[in-house]
This record gives sequence, structure tokens and C-alpha cells, in this order.
Amino acid sequence: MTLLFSADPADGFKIVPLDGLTALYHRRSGMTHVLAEPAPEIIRALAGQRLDVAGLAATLGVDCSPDNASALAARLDELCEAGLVSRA
Amino acid sequence: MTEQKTEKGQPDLSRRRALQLGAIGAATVVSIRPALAQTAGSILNCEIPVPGPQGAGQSIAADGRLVPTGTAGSFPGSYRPFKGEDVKRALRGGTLPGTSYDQSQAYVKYIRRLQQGQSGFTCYASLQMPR
Repeated sequence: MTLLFSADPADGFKIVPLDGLTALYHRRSGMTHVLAEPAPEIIRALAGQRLDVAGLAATLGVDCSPDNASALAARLDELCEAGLVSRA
Repeated sequence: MTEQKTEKGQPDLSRRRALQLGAIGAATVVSIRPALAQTAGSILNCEIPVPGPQGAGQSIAADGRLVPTGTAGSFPGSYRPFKGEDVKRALRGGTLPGTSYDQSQAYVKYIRRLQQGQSGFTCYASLQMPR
């Protein structure tokens, strides 16, 4: 079974660029997170969507090579742990 | 944003993106807990011993200094630490629980004199933060 990931709709976040990083306020939890690339892009891609790793890679415009897939999986694990992405 | 070009002039997305996707062990998320919740938690839970280990066995003079036990006009240390919430109330003119008025005044003066590195200082400092 393919794991699907999702994030709150785009209006569930307030995203502010901070020089090289991104501050993200998650309205539902009231938590602020500081994100490094590519975490904000992943959140935007998953906002209101349900995608598997391959679908996410396609949305981000990267090929789904084994290296990219494992890097994306690691990023998704972090974002799930922070409560920003859920396994749908 | 510019793409790196391959010799054929095509964007080399996989290479460029692989660098941006980050290393597997490198964190890309730092979560900041709400400052208000943190402050409220500190006030409820932190404790200030009077005196701390640095003054164990000593008494508290009316002006808050540590003095040898038995010094006239001094108060023996509290047998249990005070909660941040109790101290916050005392700083606003209340009395610490289980103490007389004068004893509470002496203890509060001791707490006001706490310095960085002394037991209870961080708790006291957190009581000063605006909420």
C-alpha cells in the first residue's frame, strides 16, 4: 500500500521568508517553525492535497530517483514529527 | 531562479534538486513553542529554594542577606522551596505561604538579590518577563 501525505490547506499557514530560511506559523497548533529548503516547498505542494512520494517529487519537479525518494522521505518524517504533515 | 544547464542545454533538475533536498540526517525543521505557554509553564512549575544550596544551613536576615544561623532578627531557611506562582504573588505584595509577614519580606528580599548561577535565579528571572 502506498503511503499518502497531506498538509493543511494553504490558509492554515502563515509563511514568511526570513533571509535564507522560512518562518511558518501553523494556525491549527499555534506553533511557529523555522524551515530550511525544501520543507516550505513540500508544505506548499501538500497543502490540501494527498500525495505519495512519487507524486510529491513530480509536483516539486524532481525525478523520483532512489536518492531523491529517500531524501524526500526523510523530510516528510521530520514534517510529520513537527505536526505539519500527516500521513493520510 | 536559474537552472544549471547540461551540455545539451537542458535543465539538470535531478542534480540541482538532489542538492536542495538535503542530506538524510540534516534537520530542516526547528519548532518554536509558543512563548506564552512556556512562560506560564515556568511560573507554575519552577521552584526557588530559600536559601539555595549555596546558603545551606544559613539563615535569612531581614534585608535578604545570608547570615549565620542564630543571628538576631534573622529567619531560618524555608524547609521547602517556593513555587514560582507563590513568589510572583509575593512580589506583588502578597505573603509567601507558611510564613509570617516579616519572614516573607526577608525571603522576598533574598529572592530579589539572586544572581545568575544561583539556584532559583532562572525561575525568578522568568517571573519578570512580560506576559
